[in-house]
This record gives sequence, structure tokens and C-alpha cells, in this order.
Amino acid sequence: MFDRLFRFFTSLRLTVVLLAFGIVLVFVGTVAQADEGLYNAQSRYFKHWFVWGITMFGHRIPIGLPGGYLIGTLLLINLVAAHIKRFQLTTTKIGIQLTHAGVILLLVGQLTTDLFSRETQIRFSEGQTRSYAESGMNYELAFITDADADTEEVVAIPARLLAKGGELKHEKLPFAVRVKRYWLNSDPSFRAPMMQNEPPVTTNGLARSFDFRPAVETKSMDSKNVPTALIEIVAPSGSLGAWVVSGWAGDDLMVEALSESFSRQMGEQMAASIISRLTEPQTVEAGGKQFAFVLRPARVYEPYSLTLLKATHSVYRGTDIPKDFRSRVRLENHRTGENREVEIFMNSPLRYGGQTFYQYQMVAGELARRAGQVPSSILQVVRNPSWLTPYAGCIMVAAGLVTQFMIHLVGFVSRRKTA
Amino acid sequence: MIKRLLTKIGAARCAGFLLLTTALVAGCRREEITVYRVPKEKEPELADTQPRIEWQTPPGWEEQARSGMSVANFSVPGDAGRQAQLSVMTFPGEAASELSLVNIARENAGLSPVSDEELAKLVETVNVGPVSAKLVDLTGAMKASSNAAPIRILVAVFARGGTTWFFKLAGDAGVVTAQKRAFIGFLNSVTFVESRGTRVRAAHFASTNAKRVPIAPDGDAGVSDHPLDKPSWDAPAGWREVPPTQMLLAKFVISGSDGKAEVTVSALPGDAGGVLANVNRWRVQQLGLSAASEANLSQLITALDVIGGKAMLLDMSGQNQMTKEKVRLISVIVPREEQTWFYKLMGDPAVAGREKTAFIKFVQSVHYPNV
Repeated sequence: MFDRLFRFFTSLRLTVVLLAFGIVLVFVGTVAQADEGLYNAQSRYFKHWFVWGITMFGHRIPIGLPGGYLIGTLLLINLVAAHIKRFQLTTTKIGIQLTHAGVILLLVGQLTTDLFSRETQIRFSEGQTRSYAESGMNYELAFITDADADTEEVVAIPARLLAKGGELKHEKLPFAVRVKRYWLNSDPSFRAPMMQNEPPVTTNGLARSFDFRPAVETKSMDSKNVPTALIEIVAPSGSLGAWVVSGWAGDDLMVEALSESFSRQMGEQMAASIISRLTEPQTVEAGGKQFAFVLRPARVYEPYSLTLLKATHSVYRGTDIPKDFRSRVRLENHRTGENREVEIFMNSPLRYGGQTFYQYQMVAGELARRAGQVPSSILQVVRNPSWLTPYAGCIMVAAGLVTQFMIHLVGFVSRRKTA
Repeated sequence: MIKRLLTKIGAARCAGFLLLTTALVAGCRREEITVYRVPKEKEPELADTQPRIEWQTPPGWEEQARSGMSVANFSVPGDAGRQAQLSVMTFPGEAASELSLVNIARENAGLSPVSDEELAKLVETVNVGPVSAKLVDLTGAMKASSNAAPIRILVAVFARGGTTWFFKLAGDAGVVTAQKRAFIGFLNSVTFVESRGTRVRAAHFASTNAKRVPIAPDGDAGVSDHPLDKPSWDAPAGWREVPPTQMLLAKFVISGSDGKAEVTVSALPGDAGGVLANVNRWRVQQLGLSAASEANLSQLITALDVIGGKAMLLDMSGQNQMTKEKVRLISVIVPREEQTWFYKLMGDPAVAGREKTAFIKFVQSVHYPNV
């Protein structure tokens, strides 16, 4: 039994079968991105152990496939086991050993990238300082209360927990959050006087001025799902009321988009008046404290801060074609005493604190002037602890192959000379 | 040796261990409620909000609608129809120097920039509420114009909470001089409203790789398409009702051999931003006309009797800013208690002219639900 298992895992046939499944999975997963969207397809095909039902050219086919995790893990086991079984510490095999080690490093590196990498964004206007980055996809329900004169305590509930429904509790919250409704994607509608047919879902806060309705989950790369939830806050003494929380009110990017939309329809003044109702803070008092709460893009705080000093968006003369996006930022870290200016521009990111800050989007120059806005910039913040492994793995594989080839070449040439 | 060691441990066990580790590590990504403490967001955030102040208006001053970057606007009257204007403006950040801001004001008045040395001579200190500010009198440094009446500019500048404030009293030199004391009294009366009510709104990022938000291109996001509580009306027989879009309550299409036109009905809460703002939006954005002033507005408006009160009738012609063809816009604005109703007939001049009487009858036939 033991030997059979060992033979199975060291078998070259297993390698071939796994590689074949890998090819099929990559093909199917790539084609499915057209129907299921990039992030969905990547997650379902490559970040799961099994895939049930695939989508090909708009057709759902009810078959199962091993997922990316399963194929990758089995390949890793297969490779390690084969390595152990056939390991020979001889100079003639050193190239093969190095090549295998490189492939193992690539596989392990990809797994750790998948598990530990994180992509967030920093959005700021000139003069603004940020010590946090925000997720472009995920939201959190943040309950914020004053801790002391200068700090506030945040209890952040990931939106995925809200999606599961039920009651959420935390020792730092003197109440429970009961999720009554949750929509992964939603559309807002302003409760203009002539449009109010039905009473609002709750008479507290945001719901008095805005209705929300569920929207079809978007899978497109160039749009995002904006969640909305109806929550009830329940203290030990009883319910404190129900509120609507929405990404439309807590995500600055969405608020700005709505504001523009309203401005086009009814002028800036009216739009500003409507938007102020949307962004009015919602609060609840419990346990002798006041908690403000908002459904906002999930935040990641850092022990350092970046201040946008200057956003430059230059175009080729006489055209609207971008020539350069460039952010000059001040990096301050009170722990290390660091305080320096850095320029971040295309292909020249800032690497700091285990993260890489890339220039992403920008409204500056003529674009900002025309829109009457303060120039602003978005940096893409990528944390990938294993970012070096693909480089190291590829170098090892290449070095191994060259070494092995040279060993054979030298052997072949010397044999010919002898003959 | 390694091989022997690993064989001894058992490759299958190694494989099992690897599988288990992977599964465990994968399981580590489970999301949980997190708690953290962060410094309160700093004041500079206010740079993007519209800062709020309160004040005591001096007698005779007339508060006007805010415009552009201004937080408050006042018309300051003088003798013989002469007047001055007080604008309160904010600029994000505290980096803007008093010199640069003063020079912006001078540039607006057609004056040359001043140097730091010249600035020092023009500055005195004044209290804007609890804050000490620089009051700059530009009279001495101004060029006299031979034709126009002499103007004078008094500017109070100070930085507070990440925002630079700019109080500018400009206009007829006689009026500004006479009102200087009242202006300083006004500055002293200012109080700042500490409110976190207005959230910071980031700019809408629109570079080449910007993500679109899920909004229809014509911008109908945030607008309900629920069935509406319509008032009752008698629509003329020749009008074809079509499904309304965007903020509309109803829409009719009129077509004939001489072109076509549309009638739309909408309502907005309160005064919908004011009659002037709406009329100017139509004039500038839809008809390509120049913006009307408050004084011109009364000439554009004709009173119209409707059920429950008076309404305002406007008739304007211009160029359709989309099609660049001639267009006529006849509209009726009906202010009601909590909302303002807008009726618009817009289209080819011939059709609009022909349908004007029917349109007015239509508006006069409207019964609102609570009338």
C-alpha cells in the first residue's frame, strides 16, 4: 500500500496527466473569462481545488475539472517525490537537480503569491496625506468611535461576512449587527418627491433620501460591484433601529460618479444638495459611546504616510494623448524618522515597507483644470512577499538547463576526440 | 544521505504533510472582523469640503447665491446705484501665499502683480472671528483708470484647518471706503462651524485606464424608474406619450411635416436650485445663449395662471447644443410648497410655435394629487 502510493506520486505518468489537465484548465479558464469576468474566472478555475461546471463560449457545460490548487499541489508533490526518489548527488546530474529545484520554487512562489499578495489603492488630491490604502474590490462595514482626543477605534466587518447574513457580534461593539438584506451589487435612486410610491425601508438616515435596489452582479473588468445592506443594530436592551448602508454612500469614487451624474441632469447646486444627503454620516449611540458607521472600501493602514505634493499629467503637444503621469509624494515614517520626497511615475514605482507603489490613475493638468478640481492621483499598492521567486526560479531553471547541456556537450566532444 | 533520510521518513508522509500544509495555509485567508486604532483624520481633509461659516450681515448688505469657489457672496450697495461685492472664497491647502492670492485679486482687477516689499506696506491685522488675518488694502498700489470709476479692493487672508480663506470686498472705491468699517465688523462676526458632516469627495479619476462605474453613459444613475404618482392632466390628441427617461415624470413626442418637438414633465424638491440657475442651465447648456442676470430674468418671465396658483412662462430660442440646429424652448415653472414642477416644450421652432397654445392649455389642465 505504502509502496504503491509512493510509486503513484513519483510516477512520470502522473506528471503527464497533471500537465494535460493543467493545459485544459488554462484553456477553459481563459475562455471562461469572456463570460464569467476576469476575477470570477480566475478565482473559480485557478484558486479552487475543484471546478464544477464550466462555461465555454456562452454555454454552461456540466462537467467537473480539477482546480488550479489541486493540480498545482499534486504537481508539487509529484515533483518533490520524484526528486527524492531519483535524487543523485553527482556532478553529471547537477543541472537536472537545479532545474527541478527551480520549478519547485516557481510552484511554491506562485502559491505564496496567491495566498499572501494584496492589491490596494491610495487615492488622494494634492496636499492630502494618506496612511492607508483601499481595496478596489472589497468593502467593509466600519464602526468608528472616539478612543481619545486624537485617535479613533475602528471595528471593521468585511462585507463578505455581511453577505453570509445572520447576526454579527464583536466584543468591542456593545451591540450586535443583524443583517436583514445584502446585495452584492446595487443601484441607488434618489427619492425625489414625485417618485415616492412606497415608504422607505427604514426611516433612519440614508434610507430617507435614497432607495436602493439589487443590480445584476457585474463581471466586467471596467466596472465594479457596489454593495448595499439593510442592517439592524441590536443592543442587549433591544433594537436600536435599522439602517441602510451602501458603498454608494461610503465610497468616494461612487459618490463622485453620482454627483457628476446629478450635475449633468439638474445643475451643480441641486446635485450638491442631493449628494450631501447621501454622504450625511450615520451614527448610533450605544454603551455610552457614539458610533459612526459606513460601508466603505476595505482599508489597510500602514505605519507610514504619503502626502501628494504634485500630480503631473502631461500630454503630447497638441493632442490629448498622455505622455507622462507622475506623482511627487512625501514619505513620512515617524517610527524610523524617515521624511523624504519621492517621484513615482510609469515604470518607476516606489518600493517601501514590503510594498510596491505604482502610478495608476490621475486627474491633473488640463483635465483637472477643465473639471475645476484639485489635481489628484491614484497609486496602485501591491504587496507580494514572494515577488522575487519567479526571477530566482527562472534563473535556476535556465542555469540548470545550460549546465546540463554543457555537461553533455563537453562529454560528447571529449568522447569524439577519444574516438 | 538526504535521499535515505527522506525515504526513511516516507515520501508519502511528506506528500501528505505538503497537502495538509497547503490546505491549512489556504484556510488562513478566512476573513475576520478586525479592530484597530488610527489617528483621527486630519483637518486638511476639509480642503475638499465646502467649509462652513456663519456671520452677521451688516445692514443693507444683500446675500446672494453662492457661485463657483465662493462660500458666500454679498452685494454691498452704495449711493447712486454704485455698489461693491464681497466674496468669501476658500482655497485648499495652506501653501498658497498671501502674495499669490492678493495677486490673483489684482489680476482680476486688471492690475499688475505686487512684490513682497510692496505687500508689507499694504497689510494690517484684523480678526476674522477668533482668527487673526491679514487685511490688505490695494488702493495705494492701483493704477488709475481714465474712463472707469475708481475701484478699491480690500482683502482679508488667513489659513485655518488646511484651508486658506479669502474675503474680498471689491468695487466702487467710494462704496468700499464707506463700507470698510462694516466689512471689519462683518469679519469680526464670523464664526466657524466645526462639522464633519460633509464628507471628502475624491476627484473622479478619468485617465486612460480609469474604471467605469456601473452607470449608463447618459448618466441616469441614481434615478428611479419606479412608476410615479402622477398628477392628472389632459394631453392634446396629437401628442404621443412615450416612456419617460431619467428624471422625467412624463414625456410626449409631437411630430409633423415641419419637424418635431418634445414635451417633458419633471419635478424636483424645494426650489430646485432656484429659477435663475435652471433658466441659465437651459440657456447656456441647451440653447447656446448667454446666461441671464437676475435683472434680465424678470423680462424673460411671463406670469401664467395655473390650478392652485401662479406659474412662470418662458419662451426662448437658440441653437440646440447637440444638433446645432435652431431650437425653441417654451417652459413653465410651477413652484409648489415642497417642490418645483418643470414643463418644457422643446423642438423645431415651427412645431414649438404651433403647439405653444396647446402646451399652455396642457399645463393649465394639470391637477396635482393634493389639490
